[in-house]
Amino acid sequence: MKSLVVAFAILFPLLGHSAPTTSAKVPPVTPAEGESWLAHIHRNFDATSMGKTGHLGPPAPMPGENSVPWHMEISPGFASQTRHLHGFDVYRLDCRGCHTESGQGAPPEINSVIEPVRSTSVPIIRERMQKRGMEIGKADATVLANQAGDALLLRFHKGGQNMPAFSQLNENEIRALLAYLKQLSGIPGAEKSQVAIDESPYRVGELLVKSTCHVCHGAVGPNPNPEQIAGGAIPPLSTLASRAALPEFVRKVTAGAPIVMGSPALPCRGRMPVFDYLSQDEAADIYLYLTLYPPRP
Amino acid sequence: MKFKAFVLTVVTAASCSAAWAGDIDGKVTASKGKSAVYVEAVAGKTFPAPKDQPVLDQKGLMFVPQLLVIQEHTTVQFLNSDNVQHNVFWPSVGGDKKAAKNLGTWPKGDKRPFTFDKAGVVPLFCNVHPDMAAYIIVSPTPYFATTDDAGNYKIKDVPDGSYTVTAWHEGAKSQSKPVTVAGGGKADFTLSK
Repeated sequence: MKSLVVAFAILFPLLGHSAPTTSAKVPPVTPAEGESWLAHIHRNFDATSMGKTGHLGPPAPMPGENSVPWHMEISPGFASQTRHLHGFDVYRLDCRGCHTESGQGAPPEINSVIEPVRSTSVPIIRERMQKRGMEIGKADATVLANQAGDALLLRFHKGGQNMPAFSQLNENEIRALLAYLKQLSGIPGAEKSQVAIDESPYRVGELLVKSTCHVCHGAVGPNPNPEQIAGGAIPPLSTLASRAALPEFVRKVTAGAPIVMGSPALPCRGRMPVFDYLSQDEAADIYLYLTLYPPRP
Repeated sequence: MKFKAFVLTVVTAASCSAAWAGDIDGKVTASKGKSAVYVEAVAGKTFPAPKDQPVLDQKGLMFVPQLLVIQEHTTVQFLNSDNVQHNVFWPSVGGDKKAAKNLGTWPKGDKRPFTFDKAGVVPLFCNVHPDMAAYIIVSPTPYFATTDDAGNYKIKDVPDGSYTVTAWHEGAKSQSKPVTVAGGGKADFTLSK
């Protein structure tokens, strides 16, 4: 109950506010909608590496045991603060859940981003050919590099058979992301071209939900009971903000927390990966976004 | 008598025609993988363009096959069977950089045709996936073969005559040998760097 009061105290001042003014380049924040990506491609949660960070929360405490201590450290007034991000953060919010911190993904299901990005660099293309004992002119290498760049952008916009489209990314975010992908892929000099962008907290929440959470969580649907959760049901996005108050939600996302499941219903470790690379403020941004922009069918 | 002469002519012609062509076979000893063997151009002899259009697929982030031997003027269909975009380019044909070509980058299911009018070795690459590489060997004659994994080959139905036969293997120096076909011919090669 106390948590709920805290959440309302944080969110209430915002409820009467509209989203920040948008320009033609920055589309408005919109609710998440539709089935999860895994449902869309008919893939079972247990048969995928998508969204799996490799970390689970702590085991549920045995009767009489204390749970692992955890402290909420959300910035005061987080809901009205601008987030100063770089391409590194755009990658973290949008890509890392599947492609991992290194960009290598989980082949063969999730491809590495590294080589497709390196293929956009003229010096790298020429160096590769030189190593093979074959020269390639700068003009020809430039055509190849541009084609690889176009293919990469098309991939963001249209996705693929296994990868969703990231049409939610705006031009500024894509520019920042591309700059970081080049740095991650070891393209010489890329570290000097990193782009900073400012985002609202609900935009950060929107990106995280649409790019990461929505991979496994559908937008709407019935709130599963403990028995259904034990059977593999994944609660839809529309139920998340009501299943847990803000602090519990933030803890669940960033550190992991037991979930009540099974019959009889008991606290268990659960199957949800822990997103320990997100800050508590960013997890709170998800909560804020899901509250202010309720998911739609 | 006239009839007897006619029968003799037909029998002679038939037996001669059987002896006018044969297979060239042998073995290519080289490092791991298949080799290509083909008959070099024959002076004053041209061959009609083949109608078959072999498919060179990109599947599982690999070119399939890794070695394709074709006759000059063959159209190859470059297919992408992967879920990712692929590119196909070659920096030269037979070492001639002017014959370099970038076919572009295209998605799953699409095919791009290209007719190889120049004989020589075509090293194929995908710029998006630099680990992908393959070779097309464009033979100036319709007499060519790909070896099996052990290096054995058979070039079928080569008309009787004298030829130069060339063997190619990735990373090795190609080797040419004169071969006389008289109802058949034989040539073994040992290729190294």
